[in-house]
Amino acid sequence: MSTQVIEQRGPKDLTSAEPLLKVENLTKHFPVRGSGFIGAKQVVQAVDGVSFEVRPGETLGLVGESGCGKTTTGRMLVRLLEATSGKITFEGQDITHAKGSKLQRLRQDMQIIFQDPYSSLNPRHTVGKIVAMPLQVNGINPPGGVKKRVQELLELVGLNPEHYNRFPHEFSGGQRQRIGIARSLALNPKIIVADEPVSALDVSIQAQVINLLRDLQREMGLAFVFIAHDLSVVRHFCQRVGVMYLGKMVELGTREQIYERPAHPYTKALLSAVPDPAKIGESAGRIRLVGDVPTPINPPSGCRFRTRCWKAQEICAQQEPPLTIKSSGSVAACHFPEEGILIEQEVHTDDVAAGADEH
Amino acid sequence: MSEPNPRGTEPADSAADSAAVGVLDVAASEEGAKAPKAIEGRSPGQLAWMRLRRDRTARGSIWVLGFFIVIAILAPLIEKVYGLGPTVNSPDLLDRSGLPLGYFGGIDFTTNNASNHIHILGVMPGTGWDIFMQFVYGARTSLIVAALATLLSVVIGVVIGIVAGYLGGWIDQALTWFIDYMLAFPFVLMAIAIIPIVNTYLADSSGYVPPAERMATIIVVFSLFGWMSTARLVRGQVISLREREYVDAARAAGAGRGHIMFKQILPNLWAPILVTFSLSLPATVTAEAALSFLGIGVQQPTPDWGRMINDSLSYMQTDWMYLVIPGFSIWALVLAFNLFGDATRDALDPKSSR
Ligand SMILES: Nc1ncnc2c1ncn2[C@@H]1O[C@H](COP(=O)(O)OP(=O)(O)OP(=O)(O)O)[C@@H](O)[C@H]1O
Ligand code: SF4
Ligand SMILES: [Mg+2]
Repeated sequence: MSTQVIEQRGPKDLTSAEPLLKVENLTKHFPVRGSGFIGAKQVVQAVDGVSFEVRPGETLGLVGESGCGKTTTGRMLVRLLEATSGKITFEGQDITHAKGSKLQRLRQDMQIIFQDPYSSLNPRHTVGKIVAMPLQVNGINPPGGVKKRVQELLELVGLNPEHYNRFPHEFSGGQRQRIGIARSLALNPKIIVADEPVSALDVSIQAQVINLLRDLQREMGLAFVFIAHDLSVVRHFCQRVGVMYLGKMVELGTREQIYERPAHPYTKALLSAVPDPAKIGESAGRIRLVGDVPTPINPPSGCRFRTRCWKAQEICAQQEPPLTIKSSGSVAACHFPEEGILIEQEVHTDDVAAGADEH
Repeated sequence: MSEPNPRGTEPADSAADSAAVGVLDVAASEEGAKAPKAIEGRSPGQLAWMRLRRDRTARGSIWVLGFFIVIAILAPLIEKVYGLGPTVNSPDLLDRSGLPLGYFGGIDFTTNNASNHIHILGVMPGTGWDIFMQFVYGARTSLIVAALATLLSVVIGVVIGIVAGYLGGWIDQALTWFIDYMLAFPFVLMAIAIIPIVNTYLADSSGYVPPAERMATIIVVFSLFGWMSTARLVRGQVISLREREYVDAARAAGAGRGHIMFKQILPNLWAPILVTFSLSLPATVTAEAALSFLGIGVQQPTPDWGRMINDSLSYMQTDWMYLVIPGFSIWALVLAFNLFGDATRDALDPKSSR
């Protein structure tokens, strides 16, 4: 599957074969004590065999409902969580279990932006101290001094560099998120995992922060893994999108494939939840997912989505659908993928038709 | 898929661009307007201090505490100005049974007496020592022991609490077990047992223990048996603080455990630390007085309120002022500490209405 993913179109360098980050069969199981008298040990299968790649300068979106393992995946990437199994390769090196000075060096290349702009900034530290922290803990003294570098970073993310001595509680949510972004940029990382960086913000502020991230991504050639719980936020930012459900990657494709020709019923359902009437044709109708996400302690057999899937057949309970290339060009895990052009679109109908014909 | 289409992404991309930028312009001006004017930030600590200063009880207790602290620090200067030391014998001020002459334990604001000196709080029965100077130096003893013992025990408790709470695992289990083990010791009994033993080790051939060493013994024993509640409180706080995302941010940036425990987490523990400090100080003042009352605290000639109370019991009927002065001093100091502690706790909690 991975070789097929490589062949998808990259954002800048079409021939760049070497992915910046390669994730193979990444799995995280949290042991938990079950309920009941003895409390038998159980495992939460938070992430179960997820594979994807991110090329330099590329943005990959990870989308899925709450609890599907996005945060867990993101935290494994930046090594805040140890993977149960699987392999993470960064610039050709296996970093899955990197330790000590190797991990320390690695940390400078991978940073994370958190969801909660309140708990992600230390309330007792000034903005200057917060943004300077990555430099300080790595013993880096940038030319011109730490203060100058911090002020540059503040300016870069659109904050007043004179606010160096302020405390986080004096800033709005959007400004706080910018501080977190400045901190993540301090070490000049190559890849940033952004874990729902805007879901805690007002809708009007969301667009600003996303624009900021995109500008930074373009100017600095950063790669992003952008986590979101719905497809609307990711749309304007990510070249490729992976859709997760209950610890599994259910579909992975380019933005066009995911938004215009989703192959997996779950992707289609997510898309239908996006309030964008212009993009959803009348014929597609609105799909409302019923029921809750099943527990990751005891996920459904076969296809994990089958308990909520309107197309589920007997085989879905018996056989886990493999990730394969579907007619739209994306890879999806479904026995009965959506076929053909599902969603009408105005601009490049020809391209879509051509793409669909190829398979 | 084998033939990538280079035009694919472009139109959607630029359309999205313009749409998002439109929103950006409006919102950016909004956010700019919201920006506060002053450049210098106020830390949460400064805000708490401002709330504290607005609290009337807090101001009152600060004045009382300030008074005790000032007289304790300036005791030698006060002695010079007053012109009389705490242990100057004046048998001429006493009657034949050793009781002070005059009213209220020999209070005299004039120099018109046998010692030719004023005694604004009277004199001690038996020796004729000036009670005011005993009170001044007693404050010194009390505050030194209370402050140092509390400081030491809080430091021990904070370090153990942070380490147990942050590192977790078997280290936490071992330390938690140790905390329970130490808490199981009956503190007063231990102090009564240990302090004399330590003092016999410290004593020279004639059995004399220098006053400073006696005091140090008390401070060390108090600290070694007084850190557990702080450690417990801090451990609990750290267990919740270590899940904060700023801790993860520090870890993701490559920060070591020391940085995270003492640079990221510790500054957020000031509130619980101040709370334990404010609870522990008055308790230590009382405990120190109790030890002296029991005769195992500081010894003569170091003035001490607790020992004065013990001493005064034999004069309860005849010279009750001798009991009132040290008793009132301890009461006032402990009350001021407690009121100040309450006010501090309120001020540190931004949600409290006071
Ligand atoms: N430390 C943990 N111990 C046990 N279970 C955990 C732990 N962390 C996460 N989980 C479980 O793993 C699953 C995936 O969690 P995760 O936080 O990755 O989801 P998510 O996709 O980020 O959801 P959200 O949109 O709510 O942030 C959830 O069922 C969660 O309860
Ligand atoms: S495999 Fe079956 S249950 Fe799963 S998504 Fe496809 S159709 Fe639905
Ligand atoms: Mg999450």
